[in-house]
Amino acid sequence: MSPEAPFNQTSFVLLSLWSTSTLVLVAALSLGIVGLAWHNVRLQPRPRRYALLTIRGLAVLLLFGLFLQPGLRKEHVTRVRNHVAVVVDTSRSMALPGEHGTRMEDTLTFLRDAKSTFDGWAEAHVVDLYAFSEHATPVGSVDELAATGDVTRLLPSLADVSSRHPASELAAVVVVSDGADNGALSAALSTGPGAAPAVSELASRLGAPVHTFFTGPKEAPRDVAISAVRYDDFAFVHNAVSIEVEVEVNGYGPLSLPVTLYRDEVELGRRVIETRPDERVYSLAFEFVPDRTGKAVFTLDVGTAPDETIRVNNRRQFVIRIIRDKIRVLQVVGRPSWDERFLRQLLKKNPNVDLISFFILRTSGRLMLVPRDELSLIPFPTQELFEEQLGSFDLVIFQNFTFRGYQMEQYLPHIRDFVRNGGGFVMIGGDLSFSSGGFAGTPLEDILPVSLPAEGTPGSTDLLRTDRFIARLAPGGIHHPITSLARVPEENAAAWESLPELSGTNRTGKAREGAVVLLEHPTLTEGGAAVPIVVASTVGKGRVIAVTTDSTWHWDLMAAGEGGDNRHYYRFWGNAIRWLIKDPALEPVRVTADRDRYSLGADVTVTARVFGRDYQPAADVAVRLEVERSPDVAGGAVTQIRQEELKTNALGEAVLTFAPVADGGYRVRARALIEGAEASAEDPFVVAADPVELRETKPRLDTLTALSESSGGTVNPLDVSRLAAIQRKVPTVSRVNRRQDVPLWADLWMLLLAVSLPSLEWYLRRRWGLL
Amino acid sequence: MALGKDDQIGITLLRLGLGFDTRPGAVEQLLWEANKRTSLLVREQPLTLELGHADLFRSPLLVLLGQGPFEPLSEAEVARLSRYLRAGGALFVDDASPLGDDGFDVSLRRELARILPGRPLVQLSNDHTLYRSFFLLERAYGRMDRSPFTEGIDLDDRTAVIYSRNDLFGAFGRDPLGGWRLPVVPGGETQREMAFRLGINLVMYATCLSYKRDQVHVTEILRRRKWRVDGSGSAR
Repeated sequence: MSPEAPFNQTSFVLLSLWSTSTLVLVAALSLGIVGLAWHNVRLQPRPRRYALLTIRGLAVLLLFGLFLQPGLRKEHVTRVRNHVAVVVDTSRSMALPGEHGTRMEDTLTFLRDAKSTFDGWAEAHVVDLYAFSEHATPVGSVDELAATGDVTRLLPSLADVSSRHPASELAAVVVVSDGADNGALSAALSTGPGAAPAVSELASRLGAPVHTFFTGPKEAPRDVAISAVRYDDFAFVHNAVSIEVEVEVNGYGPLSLPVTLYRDEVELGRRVIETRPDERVYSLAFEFVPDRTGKAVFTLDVGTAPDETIRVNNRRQFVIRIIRDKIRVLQVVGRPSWDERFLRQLLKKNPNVDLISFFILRTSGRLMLVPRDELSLIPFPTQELFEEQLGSFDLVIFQNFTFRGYQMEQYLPHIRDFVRNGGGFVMIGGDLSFSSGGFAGTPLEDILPVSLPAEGTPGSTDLLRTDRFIARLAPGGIHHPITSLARVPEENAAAWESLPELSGTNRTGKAREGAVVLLEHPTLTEGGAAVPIVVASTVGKGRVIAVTTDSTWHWDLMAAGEGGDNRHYYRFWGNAIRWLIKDPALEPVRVTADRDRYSLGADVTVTARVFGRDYQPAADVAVRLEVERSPDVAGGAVTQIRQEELKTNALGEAVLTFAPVADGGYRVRARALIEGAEASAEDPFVVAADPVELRETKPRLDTLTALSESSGGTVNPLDVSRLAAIQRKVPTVSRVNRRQDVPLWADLWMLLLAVSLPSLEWYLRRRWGLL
Repeated sequence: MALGKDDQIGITLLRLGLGFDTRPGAVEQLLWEANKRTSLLVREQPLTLELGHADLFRSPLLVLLGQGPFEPLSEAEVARLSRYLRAGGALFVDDASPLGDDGFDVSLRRELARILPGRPLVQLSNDHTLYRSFFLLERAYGRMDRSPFTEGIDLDDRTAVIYSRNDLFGAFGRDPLGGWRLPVVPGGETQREMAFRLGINLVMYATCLSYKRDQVHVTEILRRRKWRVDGSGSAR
């Protein structure tokens, strides 16, 4: 607006800046002056009295008026247009069938037809076009609108509009959507009538009516969809896991629909839904007991109905992390001993250990004339422990225990297989252990990290030694997590040297190939090598430790007697247990995807971390990263997606980023050679093409109605005539382009009048003899 | 047998006060019985150590036999015994005083209050593991029947101090001719047998701790206790 434009608005103003108290004081003074005049003329004849009082009053009034400095304010003012926000749903459900074309096509036609209406509003309103899915973003033209959003979040999107425009600047909000919200609005409405506050609060913030225009078919499309799955992100191994499923069926008569749950490619369960025309949502639950820890991809699949066009929502994949609630330890003891007593105390103190103990308190050779019911003894449940329940344990400890005498030979292969399949096993020394327990030549010798001389063979006469010694840290134990009592190697070595003497060892053969001797006898040798005291090895998927003495309890009570404490005893066994159960933090190769679930098209970043046998980050090591996609159907073929050879950096890490092109369950595997031995790890994840948008395909009018009703707006079909008639707030905000104040008091006539009135009063008073 | 001498199950007598050597042969006889009846392989000969002895912490089970009052322990002895108990050691105290002589009892309570302050002796309930660690017992026994219960002090999840006033070890000793050194009071060989059972339970408790409280045992033990109560009841 040019400054020369004529003024179009004039108003009367007071230009003085007197404070209120000053004005009151002056007003009181003026009244006082008039009052004095009245007092002075009260005895005069009426005409004179009135004349003098009138003149005095006018003079005082005039002077008071001049004191206020009245003026005229001339302004050039223009009205500011307020905004009509047109907020268009661009979620993927808008690509579903609408009344004529797709919902988006119908919307675009509507918006193009509405152009003349919007143009007609230009005098009073600015029409802003927004696209919304998760949030509302401004778009330049209708042509930019496309149904690509993964979610429909009406409330956050309208909140975005609110944050862009104060309530005073909004004339109206026009929402064009199928109403298939899958965010807070839908959740709020699902809880019943009490859900209105969130909507009302938003309407209040907007400060303008929300007029909704519904796009969608008159009837929901024929579709079967997994609309909801409820599960916990993690579950406990050996504990029942429940997965609840909701299947929504629209537009079909009676059907028999199978719903199947898979863990990886293995079917865990199947249910069949018998649908009825009068029922839309079907709830069912799967329950299973995971038998191993680790992350796994679970797939829910519901059968396809005849002529079903939207099939992507018939399948849902997700990742559940199966963890152990407690480390389940089976401690089997051949006879009570101090070694057993302190180890039991250690295990019982550990809140993460669920301990099942079996101690042989009486052997068959013992004299006993006491009735059985006066004893607390119970039978040794070998079948239950070593056949039925063995798989439920994470770790089995044979502590000075022999299988002989308990008809256990048949169970030894079970224990061997338990270890090969991932279990942990410890054999602790004593006169019933190792060769003295008859384990040479048994299936358990196959998994022990030391060879065993057989009883009765040459050189086997001295199977037990009773000398005292301080266990020496072997080269393999310097950096091994089991024998890590202190972080710094020198401190660790010093800690081992400071421990009390042990006493006695079982005589064993050499450590097996691949086994790592962690502690050894300081003086005794066997075949040229130091006698092993603690040896660890990996057997199949499991791990085994041999402790060839029954005196590690010395590191507890005796250490306290020598001025120390039992922390090294607890540290050693704690380390051993963590290593035996394959605590992921102790694995030499680890690999993780940065998320468990990705949208199709998103980048996946996987990081492999490699550690040497000394458990330090291994730099410049070749890592093979393999990404494979699981088959869509049970028994199908695994698809190799990527195979990369990378080198680890100084932190022992190798990173791979890629974008999967197909949805499904994936698994990344990292392999590395660590000092000649291959180690690997894997991590599953899901790439999902089943965005929440397509789980509910029917449009929803209730969400739009809730928005309109709470804001005083209207719910409309896609009809331009309805759009033209919507209520819009008139712009109230004006902008002053030019202003001029004209004082009324700075005028010659005013001055003359101000002088004349007192002069006239003076003249009359003098004439009437009042002076 | 254990591999090293330190590791054999045994009892160490605490050389303290007047009564430590008043029950000759008792430990040997008890451990002989334990050896005979259980899977324990024991060192029958007891060690006898003073509190300051270097081998104290090689002995997870100490037994203090007492008669009459004894002098207060030195501060160093109090600290050492407290350290021993807190580190995992166990102390069984047996009052071998004649009936009516409470001197030992008074001295012991005075010293335990210094060794484990704030942890008074409390009566062990009759379902304490001590009464079920091998034999199922209903109450405390000994050469005398001064008290139907034992007392104890718990540390963590174990009873580190167990105190009997029934002269338990007095029931065990034999003379060179094979006869019992001391008669049981009020009498009867059942009383001596039950004392042996309590003694064996004591050794079992020292080595197995709360093993018999594990859930796997509870049902069976409860069933047997009920059978005995409802049945003969004669073994009480």
